[in-house]
Amino acid sequence: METPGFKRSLFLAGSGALIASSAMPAQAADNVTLDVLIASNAQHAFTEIIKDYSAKHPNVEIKPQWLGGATIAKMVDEGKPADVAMAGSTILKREEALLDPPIDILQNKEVILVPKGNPAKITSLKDLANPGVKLSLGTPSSAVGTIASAVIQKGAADWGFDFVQNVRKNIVVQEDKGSDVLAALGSKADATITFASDVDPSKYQTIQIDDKYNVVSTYQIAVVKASKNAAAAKDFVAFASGPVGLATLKKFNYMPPPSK
Amino acid sequence: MSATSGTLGAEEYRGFRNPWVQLVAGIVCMAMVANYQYGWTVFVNPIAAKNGWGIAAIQVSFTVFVLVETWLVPFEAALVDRYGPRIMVMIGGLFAGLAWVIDSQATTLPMLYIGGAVAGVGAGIVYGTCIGNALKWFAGRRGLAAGLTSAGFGAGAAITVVPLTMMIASSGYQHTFLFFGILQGVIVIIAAAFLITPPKAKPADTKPPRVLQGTYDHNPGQTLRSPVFWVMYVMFVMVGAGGLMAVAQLGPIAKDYYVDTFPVSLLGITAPALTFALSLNNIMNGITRPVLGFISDRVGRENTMFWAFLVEGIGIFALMKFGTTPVLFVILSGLVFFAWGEIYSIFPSTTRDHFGQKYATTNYGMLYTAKGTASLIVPLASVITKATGSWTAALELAAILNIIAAVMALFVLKPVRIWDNKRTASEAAVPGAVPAS
Repeated sequence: METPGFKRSLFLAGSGALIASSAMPAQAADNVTLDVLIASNAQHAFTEIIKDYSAKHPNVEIKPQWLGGATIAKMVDEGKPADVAMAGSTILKREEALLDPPIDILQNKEVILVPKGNPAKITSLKDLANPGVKLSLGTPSSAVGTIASAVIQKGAADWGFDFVQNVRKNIVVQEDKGSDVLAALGSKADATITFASDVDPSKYQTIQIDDKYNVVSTYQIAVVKASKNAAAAKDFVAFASGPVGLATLKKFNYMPPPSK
Repeated sequence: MSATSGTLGAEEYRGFRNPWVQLVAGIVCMAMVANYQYGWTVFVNPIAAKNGWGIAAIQVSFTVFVLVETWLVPFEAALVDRYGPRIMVMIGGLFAGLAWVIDSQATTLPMLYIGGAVAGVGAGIVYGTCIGNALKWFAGRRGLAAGLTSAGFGAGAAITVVPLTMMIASSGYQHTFLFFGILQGVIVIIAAAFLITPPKAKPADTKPPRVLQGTYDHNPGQTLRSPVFWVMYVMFVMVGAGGLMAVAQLGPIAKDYYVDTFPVSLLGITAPALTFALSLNNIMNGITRPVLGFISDRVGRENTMFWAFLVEGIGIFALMKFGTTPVLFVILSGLVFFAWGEIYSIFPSTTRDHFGQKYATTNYGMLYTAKGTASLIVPLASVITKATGSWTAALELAAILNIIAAVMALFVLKPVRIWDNKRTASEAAVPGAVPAS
C-alpha cells in the first residue's frame, strides 16, 4: 500500500534525480580524460573505485598514477597535468593553494603483522623489543617507516627509550616500499608495523596496537584548481568520497573519514 | 698601498661618534633587513593561495635574493669604502623597502623575482656595510662588535615574525609587504643617518687589540694577492659547507635514530627532539657570534677558530655515535651549531685585523662570498648520501672538513699571517707608511 509519505519520497527522489541530471557537468556528455594522482598505498581500493566509476561513466577515461605523497605534492606544485589528487592530509595541506578544498576520504591506522603461526610469539607492541625478534620496517624516509617510527617512539613514553633502542636493534630489513616490507615477512622477518589496510588474512596474523600508541592518518581527495576538466573531476571526487567509494574503501580495511 | 694613521682626542668621539652608538645603529639596520631572509617563509603560502603559483616557482624569488645578497657584497662594499656608510645604508634601506613594495604589487612571477633581486641588493648593502662599520669602530673588541652586529640579523626576525604573521592573517600578505616594506625601509634610513666612518680612520675604541694585527691597509687587489686571504677563504668554505651539511642531515639522523617525534624536556621547554634541535640551532647560531667573537678578542682568532672548529668536528662525530637518545641528540646538535655560527664574527674580525682599516668593508665583502661558494658545495652531500644510501658519509665529511679547518687555523693560517706580516713589514717601511692598527 502506498502511503502519502511514500508518494512524497518518490516525488522528492524524482525531483532530486531531475536536479542532479540538470546539474551534470557539460563535459560528462563529451569524452573526457582525467589524470588522477593517487597515493600508492591506496592502489588496490582505488583500482576498484575507478572501475566502478568507469562502468557508470563510459565517456570518462581515468588515467591513474600511483605515487608517493611527496611526488604528488611536487607534481601539483609544478603544474604537471593533474585533475585530481588523493594523498595524506599533511601532503595536500602543503599544496592547498592549488587545490579546491580537500575532502577527507579515509583514515588508516597501524597494526602489527606477523606470519601465520606467529613464530616469535608477539602479542603486543612491547614484544617487538624482545631479544631475537626480527623486524621488517619501512625506511625512515618512507610513509610506512615514518609512521611505524612514530608508533615506536610513543611506546617509549611508557617503557623508556631503551624500548626504542632495542626495537632498532631488532630491525633486519628496511625497505622504501610497503610491499617490499611485507614481502620479507616470514622469510626474513618475524613481524612488521604497517597500515591496517595492508592486512591480508590469508597470509598474515594481525595484532592490534593500543590506541594510546597508534597513529591515525587521514587521507584526502581534491580537485586540482588548474584542471581543464574541473566538472568531470568534481564528479569523480564526489563519487570516490560518496557511498560507493566509502563502501569500497571499507572493504579494503580503511577506516571511515573523521566526519563520516 | 695606503697607510692608516692618527691619534685622536676623546672629544672627537662624542655624540654620534661614540662607537657604541655606531654599533647600535648598525644592529638596528641589520634587524630591519633580517625579514628578507628569515621572514620570507611566512609569505610563501599566502602568495601561492592568492595567485595560484607553485611553491617551487615562488621560492625562485628567494634563491634570487640569496644569490644577489651574497655575490654583490664585494662591489657594494667597495662603494661603502669610497662613499662612507651613511649614504650607502640609506640606499640599501631604500632598495629593501622598495623590494617589498614591488612584492606587494607583483601579479606575475617575474615581478616577484625582480622584488627578490632588489631585496638582495638592499640587504647586501646593509649587511656588508654594518659589519664593516662595526669592524672599523672597534679595535680591541672587533670580534664582539662583528658578532653583535651579525647576531642582530637573526634577532630582528625573531622580534617581527609574529607581527608579520598576524598582519598576514588579518590584512593579507600584500598589505603586510607594503606596510613592513615601508616601515623597515624608513627605519633603516633613519638609523643610517647615525652611521659615520671613524674620524681619521682610527677606531675610537681605545682598547688596544690583543690579537695578531697586519702591517698596513691592504687594498682589495693586495688582499686578493695575499695567501692569507685564500687560506681564510678555503677555511670559511670548509666550515660553512660543513655546517650547512650538518643542518641538512639533522632530519634524516633524527628519523633514522627514531628520536624525531620523541618529546624532550630541557630548561622548562618540552618539544619533539627534532623540532627542539632545529629551534636550538637558530638560537645557538645567534648566541655564538658575540660570545665567541668576544672570546676571540682575548685569546686570539686562530686559537678560537681551532677550538670552535675542533668542537664542531668532534661534536658531529659525537652526534652520530650518541645522538641515539633524544636528550643527547638535542644537546649535541646544539653544541655543533654553537661551534658553527661564530664564523660570521671571527672571519670578519680576522679580515680587519690582517688587512687593515681602510678597505675593511670591501675585503670582508670579498671573503663573504665564501658563504655562497659553501652553499654550492652542499649539494655534494646529497650526491654522497644517494651514492652510499646513508647520511653517515656526508656527516663524516662535514666533521672532517671542520677538523681540517681547525688544524689549518693553528698550523697554516697563524704561521702564514706571521710570515705575511714579516714580508709586508718591509713594504710598509716606505716613507709615510704606518702599520695598520
